[in-house]
Amino acid sequence: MVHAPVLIVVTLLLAAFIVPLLYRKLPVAQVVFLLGIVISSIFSIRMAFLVLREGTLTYYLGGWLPPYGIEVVADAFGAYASLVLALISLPISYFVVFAPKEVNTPARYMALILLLMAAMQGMVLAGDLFNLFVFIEICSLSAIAIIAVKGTRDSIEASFRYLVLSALGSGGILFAIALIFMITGHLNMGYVRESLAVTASLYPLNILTALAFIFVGFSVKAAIFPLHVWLPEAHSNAPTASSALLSGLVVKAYLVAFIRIMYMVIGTELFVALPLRPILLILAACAMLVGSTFAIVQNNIKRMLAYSTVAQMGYIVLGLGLFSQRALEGSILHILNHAITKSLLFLAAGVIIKQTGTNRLSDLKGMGRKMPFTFAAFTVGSLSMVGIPGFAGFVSKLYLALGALDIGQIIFAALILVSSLLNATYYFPIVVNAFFGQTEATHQGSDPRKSVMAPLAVFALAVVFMGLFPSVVMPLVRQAAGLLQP
Amino acid sequence: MDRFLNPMALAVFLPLLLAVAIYILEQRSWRIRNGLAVASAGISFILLATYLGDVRSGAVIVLELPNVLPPLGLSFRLDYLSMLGGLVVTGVWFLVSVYATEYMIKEHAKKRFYPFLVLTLAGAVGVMLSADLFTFFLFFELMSLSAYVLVVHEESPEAMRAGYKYLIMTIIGGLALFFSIIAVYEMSGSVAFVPGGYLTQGGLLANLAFIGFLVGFGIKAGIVPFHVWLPEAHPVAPSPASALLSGVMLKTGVIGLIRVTHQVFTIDLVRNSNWNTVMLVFASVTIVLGSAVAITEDDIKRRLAYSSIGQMGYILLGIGLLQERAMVGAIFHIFAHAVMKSALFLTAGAVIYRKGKRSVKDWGGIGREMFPTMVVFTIAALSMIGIPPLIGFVSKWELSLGALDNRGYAFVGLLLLSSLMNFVYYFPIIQNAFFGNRKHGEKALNIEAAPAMLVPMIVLACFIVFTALVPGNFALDLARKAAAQLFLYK
Repeated sequence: MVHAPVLIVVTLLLAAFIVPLLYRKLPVAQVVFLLGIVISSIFSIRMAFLVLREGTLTYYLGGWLPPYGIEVVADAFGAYASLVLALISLPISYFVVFAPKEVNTPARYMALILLLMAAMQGMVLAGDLFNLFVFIEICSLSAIAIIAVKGTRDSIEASFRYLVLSALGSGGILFAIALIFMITGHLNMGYVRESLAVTASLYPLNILTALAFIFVGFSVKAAIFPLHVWLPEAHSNAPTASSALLSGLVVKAYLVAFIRIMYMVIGTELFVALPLRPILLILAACAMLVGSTFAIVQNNIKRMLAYSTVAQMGYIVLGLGLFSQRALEGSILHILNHAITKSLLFLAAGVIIKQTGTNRLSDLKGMGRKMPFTFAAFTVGSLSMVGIPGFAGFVSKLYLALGALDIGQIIFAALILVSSLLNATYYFPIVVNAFFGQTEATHQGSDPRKSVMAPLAVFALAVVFMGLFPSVVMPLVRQAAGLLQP
Repeated sequence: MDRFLNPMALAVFLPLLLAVAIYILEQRSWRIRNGLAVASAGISFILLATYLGDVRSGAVIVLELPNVLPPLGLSFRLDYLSMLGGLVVTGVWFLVSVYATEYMIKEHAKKRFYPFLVLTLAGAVGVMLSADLFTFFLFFELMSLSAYVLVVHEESPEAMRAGYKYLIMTIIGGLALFFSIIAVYEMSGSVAFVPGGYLTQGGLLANLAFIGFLVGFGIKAGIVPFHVWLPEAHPVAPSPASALLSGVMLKTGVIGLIRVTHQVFTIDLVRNSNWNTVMLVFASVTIVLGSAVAITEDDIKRRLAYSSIGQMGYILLGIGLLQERAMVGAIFHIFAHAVMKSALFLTAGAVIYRKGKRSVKDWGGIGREMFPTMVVFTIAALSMIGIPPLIGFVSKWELSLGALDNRGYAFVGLLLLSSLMNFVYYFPIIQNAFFGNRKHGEKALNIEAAPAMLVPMIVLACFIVFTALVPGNFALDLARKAAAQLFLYK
């Protein structure tokens, strides 16, 4: 039996418990923190290779077989999501350790990040609904905590709003799980699905209610329009590394869990039969347009990036709604591409705010000449978000647009174009004003030291690499998309 | 690995590498920087020229890199059309780079200018040599976006405004192309340029794809009404950049249209869907409006920019006539206009550089003070008007014959009218320069442009005069063969 799937989570949890004990010896805590992330990432990468070669891995905790034992299922989709989480968390963790401190309790902060990572990895690998819910709860609480840990008035207010809405979402999901348990008598996803095939027609109302609650619950957590209202405040008031984690990974982990419930529990046949796809399409379209429109009018760099995340989540949901093979591939690929790009942008924004002391976009005119490297990294991220060929974002848009045309939805292909144009209208002026024009820079600032810039460089190179050679992850993406097809 | 070590791959990727090299090395010495900038275009030119014999005798050289950006992949091809386009791009670029080494001495931010100059070259060469729509699009965006840095080089508020317009129009054009390309892929499962074309089926998606191509390429080529960025952006750029924008980069738009109408869509589909009529209407409006507005412009570079719009109308006309003879004219005009318009922008740049005079009213007596420069200007302007035996005449001749073959008498009239308007806006400049007087109280200053600026202009002038005179006109030969190949499959 391959232990990798469970070791990913266990390593992170273990590190999460050790790190706070070492709060007096910060350097040791940092080493443990990095080791935890690195080791679990190695397991994650190994698991991805295994899944690619041998297909779905299942792991029975303690050797207890389902339906009573706990099952961990690493199928192509789960392995892919786990890989994304692992790869993105590496540079961000490095940034947490080496960037100037933004929080007063670094050991606590690192422990929370480890807990968050463990919860997310658990969420995308869990094979039964109860553990899924547990990990969702841990994830929600630690996500809220890494916002509040900054300790400013704004961040606590934002995290409180997030807490309330998130708790409502959790309640919804729990209720839905209870409804499903009521009908089927199982919590293991595979058994639930088998049982649903028989019982779904007997209790249609229960299933519909459960679906509605799952949908709304995850909508809140994954910030799917119009339940995204907590996101801009939460993501923009968090410490830099938290913003990158929240926007890059957390919202997507919830979406991944949602997708897994859809095909592993509800079954794609039912998903396609119900009018869920039109709803997803409409919500995605609104998210793309409204998110971008709000982003245009922002003057706070991190709020702008947060609204951009709302719009970009729309892309992923769009692919889900279109549901053709290529659209799903685009959607799944965008989970990775947006994670890289948005992490890059949030880290760059954090560095800019730290070095210049301002978060207003209007104050950044001419700053590109003083901080060429940071703004170059920001430019790479912007080009990817707009979807310029040769950068990561373009590839996912290509697949999404092709997927839209595959099922004759020209209007949604056009929507992607309009959204790209909107993205350009808020990303490019920042870049242009930073590097060009005669206005003198009003703020002091310079590129930070090399160790702080390293994660930015890694993300920027990754954006270009994924833009030119997406073929490195495509086999896994294709398999994952294949799982979702009925 | 040897796929990357043949001259063609080098011609495409060397400028890309050199752009990076220049960025790194320019910290050390400006001599190395200038040398590399000139060399990048020169080497590409020589590498492409080594294939000239093969291509003229009918060989097609192909380079495929399917692993980059699947599912579409990259591919390059040298046929008659890409040979001509590639030589025009690299040749003109080389001459302009030489000129720039002198012209840019007075300018700021040279460290930014040269890497992006070479990066733009990389894009333009890639566009010309690409063998499928997707590769074309990739390099097209690279070229367009790096050219933004050249457009806003002055960083004056005026330049920033023009640059913003350019950027937004470029993005809109890029998105239109993106849509059309995926539509083509959706309809046919391929995006390659195949002689004779492969899309035979009309319909909504095909129509939308054509509109996308027309908008995307039209924006780049400055076709009315998509031209609005052009008269702003070309004049504010430094003169070498203006020469490249007007002389070289506009051509990528029309090359794209030629490829699309003949090697993606079949010619029958273009005709049956009446897209050629659409192109002819746009061409006519562009020719008349471009030339007419040029007359009213006082700023020399704005006048030249509007003149470019009119001239691009000629090429679109040649494409829209769907007729082999007219296509010869259109393709030859890609070469001819590149040479003429870059010569004009370079001479205008030399005058601005030496005298700081942008308004043509102030050009009185300049012909006596900067005699060789103004002789080059005169030759290029006469060629624009269409005086035989200069190259501008050759393209108009072929275009007119093509129009007559289709009984398009109106189009011949249009060409004549346009020639007349060209005369109206170029001739007073020449007359004033040689026979006019300086402004009252202004002293004569006999300062000719420096050799590094003068020599490229004179070389361009030689091309204008001698291309049509010497036997074995390689440009016309390539244009004829390219057109013949395009119409082989009708």
